[in-house]
Amino acid sequence: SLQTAVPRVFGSILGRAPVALGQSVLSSSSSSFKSQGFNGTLQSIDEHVYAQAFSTSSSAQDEKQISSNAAAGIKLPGMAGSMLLGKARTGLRSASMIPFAAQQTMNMSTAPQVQSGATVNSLLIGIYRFWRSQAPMEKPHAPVDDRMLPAIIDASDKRAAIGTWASALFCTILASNLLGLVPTNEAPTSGLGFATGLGVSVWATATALGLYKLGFSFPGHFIPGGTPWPMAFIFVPLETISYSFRAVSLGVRLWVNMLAGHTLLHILTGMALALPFSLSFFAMVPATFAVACLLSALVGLEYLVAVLQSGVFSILSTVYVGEFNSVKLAGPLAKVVKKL
Amino acid sequence: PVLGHRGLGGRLARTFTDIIKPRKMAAVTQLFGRAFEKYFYDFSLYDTYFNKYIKSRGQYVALRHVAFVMVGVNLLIDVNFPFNPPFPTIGMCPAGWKGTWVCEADKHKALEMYKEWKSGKKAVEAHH
Repeated sequence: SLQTAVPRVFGSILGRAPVALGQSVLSSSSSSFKSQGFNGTLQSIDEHVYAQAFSTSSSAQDEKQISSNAAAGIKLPGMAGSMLLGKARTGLRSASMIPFAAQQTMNMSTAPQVQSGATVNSLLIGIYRFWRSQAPMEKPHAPVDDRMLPAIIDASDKRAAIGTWASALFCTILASNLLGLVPTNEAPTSGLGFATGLGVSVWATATALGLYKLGFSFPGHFIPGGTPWPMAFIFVPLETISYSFRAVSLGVRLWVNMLAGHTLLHILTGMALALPFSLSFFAMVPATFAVACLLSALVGLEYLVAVLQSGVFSILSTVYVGEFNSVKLAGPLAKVVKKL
Repeated sequence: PVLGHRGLGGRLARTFTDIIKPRKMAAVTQLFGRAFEKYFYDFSLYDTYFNKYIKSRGQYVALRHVAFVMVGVNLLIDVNFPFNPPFPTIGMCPAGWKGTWVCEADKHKALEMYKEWKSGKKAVEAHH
């Protein structure tokens, strides 16, 4: 138990949390572990948990039980039985005496450490939650308890990750749009292929989701509710056209907005340059002042457009993809109802 | 060395990491940082001078924006002045250049006129 005590002591000295996964459990309730036959080494935590779960006695039997369970596909809940945390660290734990510094090094994360509450993180959390809020889950009719929980998880599994997609689109397009306002740069979204490529991709994503969800009844999506069936022969082609045009309009809206503003700036800047080029200084100042005011205002407008169009694109993406995102919640098929 | 020989690659990185030592680099960075900080936060033309003429700081900032654009435009034009403009001049011409290659709307013709002007200028220079 010296092996486990040393990191704990040093951890408390350094003001850091204990290192390994199982150790927090160990430090909080080591006495109970001891009384339950825990032999004090880190490597036996998993086996101990297995032993608790399957209530076998000797360690040899434990090993057999574990291997047979693994073969049968039975896993511990959560990450405790996962390949990442269970298997990858077993080698480290089973090494009996490696230096403490090496242990610490091995236990250090290679992921960059972040400051909690950093501006970027707060901003991204807000952005992600906003786009996720555009496609909220429906409230189930039954109360959400542990009986309902699998159905909730199942429903969220069946939903498209609209929040993630819209956040990614928003950040990408916003960064691309704002690049057009950085000196010596132009916006990638003012290119036809980039902008319309994004638009077509979103439309194709929505369509693929719709085809996956609805299958051969996909055209039924184009019939408004309560329409008599003969009208479908008129509705479906028309709705198909308007639906397909979204592939064009979504990207072209972005492209044209980013292109037209910059083109206008080009033209007006050229006209503004004609004054100081050809007039004398004192005649030029008031006229150029007015034109420079106009140009500055237009660049400010471009800032607004850059933010607005990335938002509009992502909003419409949530709308288009969200059309096929409704999930029938698999509620309990049988229930015990108490009668008063 | 901080960056190592592989950091930025090539001779430049090696120069910075080995000849100009990292400590000196840090000192230079700090110096520039301090100077910019002083300029950015503590130096204010508005507080020292323009508050007598301009009502609010916001107005001053707006005027500074526009002045920046005007000064920039004038510099860009004046630094390389004798040029045939790619932008449309609305029938106007800088004083003294009327009828020359600077005010010629036809670009091909302007190019010929420019060559002629340039060779003549060179001939004049050669005579001197």
